Formats: sequence, structure tokens, C-alpha cells
Amino acid sequence: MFLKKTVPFLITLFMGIMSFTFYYVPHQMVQDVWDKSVEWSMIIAGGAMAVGAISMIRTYIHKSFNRTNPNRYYSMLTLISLTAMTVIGLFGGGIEPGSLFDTIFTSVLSPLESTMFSLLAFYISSAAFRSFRLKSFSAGLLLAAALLVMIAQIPLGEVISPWIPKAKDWLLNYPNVAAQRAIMIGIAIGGVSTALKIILGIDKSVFSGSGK
Amino acid sequence: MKKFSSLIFTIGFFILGQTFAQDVTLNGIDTPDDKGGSIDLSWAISNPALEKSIKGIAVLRSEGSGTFSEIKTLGDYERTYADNGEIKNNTPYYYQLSFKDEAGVVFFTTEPAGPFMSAPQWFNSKKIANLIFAIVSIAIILIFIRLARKGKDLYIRHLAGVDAIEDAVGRATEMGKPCVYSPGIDPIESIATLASISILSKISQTVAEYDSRMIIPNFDPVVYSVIDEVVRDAYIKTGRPDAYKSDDVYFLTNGQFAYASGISGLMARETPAANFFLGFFMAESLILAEAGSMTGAIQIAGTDSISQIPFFIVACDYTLIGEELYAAGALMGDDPRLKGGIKGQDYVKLVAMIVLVVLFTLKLFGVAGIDKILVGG
Repeated sequence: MFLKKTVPFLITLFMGIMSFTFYYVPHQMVQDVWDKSVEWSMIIAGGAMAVGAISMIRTYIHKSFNRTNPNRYYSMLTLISLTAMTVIGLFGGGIEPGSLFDTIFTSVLSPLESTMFSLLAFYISSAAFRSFRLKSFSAGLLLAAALLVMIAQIPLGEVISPWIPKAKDWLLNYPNVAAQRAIMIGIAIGGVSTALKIILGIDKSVFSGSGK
Repeated sequence: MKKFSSLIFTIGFFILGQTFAQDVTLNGIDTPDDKGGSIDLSWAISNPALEKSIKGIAVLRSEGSGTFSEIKTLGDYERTYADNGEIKNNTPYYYQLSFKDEAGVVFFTTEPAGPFMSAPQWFNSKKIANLIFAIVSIAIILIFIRLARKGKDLYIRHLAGVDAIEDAVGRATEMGKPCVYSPGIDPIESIATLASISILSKISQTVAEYDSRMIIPNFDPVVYSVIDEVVRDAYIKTGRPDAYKSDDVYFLTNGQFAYASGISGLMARETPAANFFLGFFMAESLILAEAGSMTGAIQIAGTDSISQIPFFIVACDYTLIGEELYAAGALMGDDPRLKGGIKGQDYVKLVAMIVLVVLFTLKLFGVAGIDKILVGG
């Protein structure tokens, strides 16, 4: 209980006060402490990556050996890929540009990630189709604004009327920016409140280990 | 011939150099609101003929009564320079400027100016308005937390997305299908991630009570470690520690699109009844939400990433917008102090609105200094 709840709370309280102080105090002494804590967090993150890798390997080993799981071959493939990349990285000439590891990374992983990213174009189309259905007054407003902005983005907008690009700019620069800033102010104030509740230990949901 | 004319030009300026001494003013101050180790230099040239002749400016520095050495060469148009290279605090420094002609030959060097000293500051005066607002905000939030703790009834409007969470878990239980929960791609220090973990602790209890199943693939290994403990703790709290499956909470990958691909594949294979995307998301938000939508699952999303909110709104059944994500955890629990914090937050917003309206009105009437209050500096 003490190690799982009290110690994390005390560390959070200390770091919360430090973060607050760091923001307002530019003095070298405070900045040095902050820089040191950033270094520590990087070391912790490095250690946590090992914990994450162990978790992943454990999960996929269980899935691979579960004969009732029809998707176990995906887990096996993940484990084989993980092992292959680790072995190649460690014993196959390093990870420098031109190495086998780098070649696999740039010729397999990067294109796969780019493919996933390119799916966005299709998903945006289907999401746009769904959102532009005229179901209510607010949906109608959204549809009208979207049509205006889309027409103004292409040369046709200027041809129809010189006012269309101007209306688009007005929509994007005033109502759109005003709404975004309102959300941003809400987020900033909500962030202060959430941080305060965590730093003072009022919200203890992130400190696990209380048991029943 | 060119070298000869350059020489003549240089000799001419050398003879005239003494007259330029009155035409250049070099000033230096300790850089304000910094950690020390920096001196701001500025200079003015009052002679247009001299100004026109300058093709390069060299800044020279000496520590105490030591010799001058060149530390930087600037363009002829530069009139300021922040010297933050190897400057010791509380040590006197002297500066000179050397003006160069087209050939790069120095034709005039100013008299030494100084001493100038650098010192670290204990407070950034540009952030005074920010500090005052932070103190007022914290005070208001703490007052409402105290009022709530004392039992004062505080009204907080319901959020449809929060009310739908229990229904979504119930639906998944009835259908015998799992729920999928993504805490986003931000690290543990992000407010969105912390808020997501707070919500997850409540959802996990509901999942444990209903004897349902929730799969939580993680993007960040530190977040994974915390979530693993939080979910395990939720099962212990509901008296069902044996029902916790550690294989359902795992680190997936920390590649953005690999994560999107992994969850999309998971949703396609498991066909979950409910998907929760609560946290900070970037471009993968729409991939996740659309892939989840295709499986027919009820989807509840929430993010403080402004650019991703529209995608969640169109592709999910319920969306927690911005600060609603932070409030959801408190609304799902029964701790009055957390609800007091939300009420306090609402009053801070009211204060912010009033302050903004007053400041903008003053600015419209031409009152000076409003920009400084609003943006600092």
C-alpha cells in the first residue's frame, strides 16, 4: 500500500510542484533540476520499453500456442518478425544506413506504414459521406459550410463568384477559429483542474494498488 | 586595381575613423527573464554615410580587462545581438563592434562599451498575468472541491457519452463480445492519457462486475505498465481478481500507423461490441474510428486533440469533446471532490470569459498594454 500508493503520490506531488516552479522560474538552478528529471524520465522510458516488449512477447506466445485461436498464425508471424529483426540488428551488421536491418526497415516497414496512412483518404471520403447526410438543421449548416469550403478550394469557386473564396476565408478565419479557441481555452482550464486533482491526490485512479 | 581601390577606401576610412566614434552607440543589458549566461547587445548608427558603407559587422568581446576577440560576424543590417556563448554570470564583459567594407576589411572599430554583466532571474516577469490567472484558477477549483467535500449539492450536467459507457459495456456483455479500449498515443505525462486512465479504472470495474471482457492494446510502454496495474486493481476492487486476464492488456507497438493497423486488425478479427477511443490521437483517429464503425460496434470516443475531434464526431456514436474527456472520470465516479473540481473548472471558465470580454473591450477603446497582458512580453 505504501509503495504502491503513497510513494507514487509523493513523487507526483513533488514533480507537480517542480513543474509549476520550472514554468515560472528561469534560474539555472531550477532548470538544472528539471533537465536532470527529464534525463531520468528518458532512462525510465528505456526500462519501460523492455517491460513493454516482455508483455508483447508473453501475450503473443500465449496466443500462438492457443490451438482454439484461429488467428494464432498472426501472432506467430509477429514473434518471428520480432525475433528476426532483433537478430539481424544485433548480429547482421548493425542498423546503419545500407545494412540489412535498415534495408528491411525502409523497404518493408516504411511502405506498410505509408499504406496505412494512405487509407486515410478513403476513410475521409466515407466519413464525409456519413456526416453530410441532411438529418437536422445543424447537419444542414455543416453540409452548406463544407460545400462552400470545397467549392472555394477549386478554381470553379472563383469562376462561379469571387465572393465564394472570400466567404470560405471568412468561415475558416472567424467562426472556425473562434470555435477552436473556445475548445482550447476549455482544454487548458480542464487541464489545470485535472492536474491539480492528480497532484494533490484527490484523483487517485492513476495510483493503483489500493485493492479493496 | 580592385585591391588598390579597396586599400584607398580603407585608408580613407581609417583617417576618418575618429569622427565615426560619435556616430555609433553600443548598449548592453542582462537578458531579462532568463536563466543567466546571456547579454543583449544593441547599437544605433546615426551617420547615414557610415551606415551605407558597412558591409559586415564583427562583435568583439573581452572578459574583464582581457583582450578583445571576435565572437560573431553579422550582416550589415543587424542592430542587435544576444551573446549567450560562454558567458559567466556576475562577470564584467566589454564589447566592441568592428565594421567591415566590401572586401571584408575592418575600417572602423568602436570604443569598448561596458562593463555589462549577466545574472540569472528567479521569476519570469513576462508570465505575471499567467501566474495570477493560474493562482485564481487554482483557488476557485480548491474552493469548490472544499464545498463539495462539505456536502454542498453541485449541479453538473450529464454527458451523453459518459451515460452511454455503461450501456455499451452492458451491450457487449449481452452479445458475448469483447470491448476494445485505446488510451491514445500520448505518453503518461499527458493530461489526456491521465484522464483516459481515470475513465478506464471506472470502465474496468463495470466490465469486471458484468463479467465481460475488455482488450486494451497500448501504444506507450509506460502507459501500458500503469494501465495493467489500474485494470488489475479494478478487478480486485470488484472482488474478482481471478477474472483478470493479463493477455488482454498488452503493449502493441509504438509505431503510429502500426498501432492503427494492429487495432484495426484486432477489431476485424474480434468484432467487438463496443470500442472506446479515449485519449490523445493524431492521424490514426479516423483509421481506428472507421475500422471500428465497419464492425458495427457502438463507439465512444474522446480527445483533446482539436484536429481529430471532427473525425471522431462523424465516425463515432458519442464523442467527448476536449475538456469533457477530463471530466468523464469524475462524472462516472461518486467522489464529490472530483465533481467539485469540475464545478470549479466551470467557474474558472466564467472568469476567463469575463476577463477576455473586459480586455477586448478595453483594447477596442485603445487602452495600451492589453496585448502584453494577453500574450505576455
